Amino acid sequence: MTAILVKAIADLRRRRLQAAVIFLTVLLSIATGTMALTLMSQTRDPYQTAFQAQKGAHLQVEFNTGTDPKLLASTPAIIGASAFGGPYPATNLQFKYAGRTFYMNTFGRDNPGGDVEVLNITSGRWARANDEIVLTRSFSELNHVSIGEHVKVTSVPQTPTLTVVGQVVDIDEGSADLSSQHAWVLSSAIPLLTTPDSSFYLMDYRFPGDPTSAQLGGYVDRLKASLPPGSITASVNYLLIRSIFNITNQILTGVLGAFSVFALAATIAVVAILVTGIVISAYREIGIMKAIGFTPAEVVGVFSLQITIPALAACLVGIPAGTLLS
Amino acid sequence: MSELVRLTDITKVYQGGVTGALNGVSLTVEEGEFTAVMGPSGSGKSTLLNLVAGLDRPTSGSVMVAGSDLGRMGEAALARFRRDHVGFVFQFFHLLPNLTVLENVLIPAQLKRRANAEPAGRKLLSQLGIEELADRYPARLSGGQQQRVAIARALINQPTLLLADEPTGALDTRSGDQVMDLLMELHRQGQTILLVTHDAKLATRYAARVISVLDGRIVDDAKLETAERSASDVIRVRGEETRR
Repeated sequence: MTAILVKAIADLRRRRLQAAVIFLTVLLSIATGTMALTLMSQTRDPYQTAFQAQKGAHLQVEFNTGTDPKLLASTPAIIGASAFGGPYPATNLQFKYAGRTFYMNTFGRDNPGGDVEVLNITSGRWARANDEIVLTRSFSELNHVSIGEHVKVTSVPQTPTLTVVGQVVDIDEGSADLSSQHAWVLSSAIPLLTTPDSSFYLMDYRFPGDPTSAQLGGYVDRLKASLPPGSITASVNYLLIRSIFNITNQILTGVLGAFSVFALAATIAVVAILVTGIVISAYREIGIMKAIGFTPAEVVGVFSLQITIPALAACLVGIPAGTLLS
Repeated sequence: MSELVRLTDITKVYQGGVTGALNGVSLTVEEGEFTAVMGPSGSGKSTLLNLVAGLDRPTSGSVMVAGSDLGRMGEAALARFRRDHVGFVFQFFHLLPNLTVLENVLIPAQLKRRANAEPAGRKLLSQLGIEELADRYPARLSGGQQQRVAIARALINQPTLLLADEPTGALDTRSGDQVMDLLMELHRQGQTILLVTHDAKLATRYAARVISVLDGRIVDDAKLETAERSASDVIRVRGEETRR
């Protein structure tokens, strides 16, 4: 071992409090920074990642119930979509659960897969009978709806009861406490659950690459031009949904980033104060060191090591800890 | 004997000082000499020693030690010069408090990147009668023991020149005598020693040459136990100079 290392380690042995403070401060800062950076890298564009995985629709268009479904099936070719889903019959369902009333756009869909808008089943299974319904996981968790429980439909005179058989994650939905939710039943169940004025069709379209807002607007215009007037009742594109998701994401990563910067600045300040204290208290010792042959660089090396050793140890612990915590 | 130290017309004025700590001092020290620099407090003797060690720089004049002009060296070169050529014994020992006795002794050797210096360090401790203290920290040693450790540290690199600044100043008489006997023994083995002291009796008892400094000037330079001068002469001269 060199003289510098011997001296630095000996000083660390005797200055355990300072070493512990440096270790803890750097540990907290590094762990927080690592956690923030990891989260930022992992959540840089979580919507886009999920969108690709679940084959999200670039464009969703709602058509009034009088539109011919066969005509709707020809619309992907009109606008050059690379994949599509639908037409899905849909209705605005009103149901009661645990004494509370909920309104939810409910789609008739016979399976959760397909080329567009794949639904990930997180619990239970897909509907197999007309009296079964699938809800989003977010809605189920927020309202404590478990698999096997029943909801009472109040939007049709028959007030049928549906059994909750599955929970899914839908790429188009945000958290249930912030945004409206969807539900799914079999296509054959929709006529039993709807009134004429509350039904519609939904078409999901995917296009090659990442279409721009203007391109998507052009597709909607082309659809309007090729279908009878009034066929299209609403449309939404993925850019709008992505921007809503990204706002939440940007707030989260911004707060984490700012917190990391503050933590780093606080660490630098604490370490600087400690170093100043160590150097002032060792002023006489520095003179002795120089007298017995330490060069100025070696003296600096001794004090730097006294900071570096606990800081490195903190990094060795803090980086894996921060990664795990993130 | 060859010349080891040459100070030529040295002046040292500290910042804010009106008069110089040293004023036109010139002297030479031969290899193997035991020289004492004697003078009252504030006379400039410690300044002189610091200049020889390269711990301080003269305002004017030149300092040559072991063939090196210290005035031409940078801080790092001076530090390397000290570790290679100079052993320093201080009045208040100045051991590094966080190192054990053995670590204190070995640190100059480690700075010099000497491999396997530990046997030499232990041998030195043994010669100085403190081998059983090797693993203790300085705070647990007596003054005399600490000064022995400081001497061992000064000798570990077999320095060309041993500088001692009031080495008995913080010790009781018995410990002081033991330390001086040690220095005397080293001198007998050929070690060049430059001792600074305000104690005229100590200087004349051990040193073969006594240089008296007063107000930054050399007022006397006597080789003792020669035909020229005796110890009592030096003490008398010192007394007269102090009374002026």
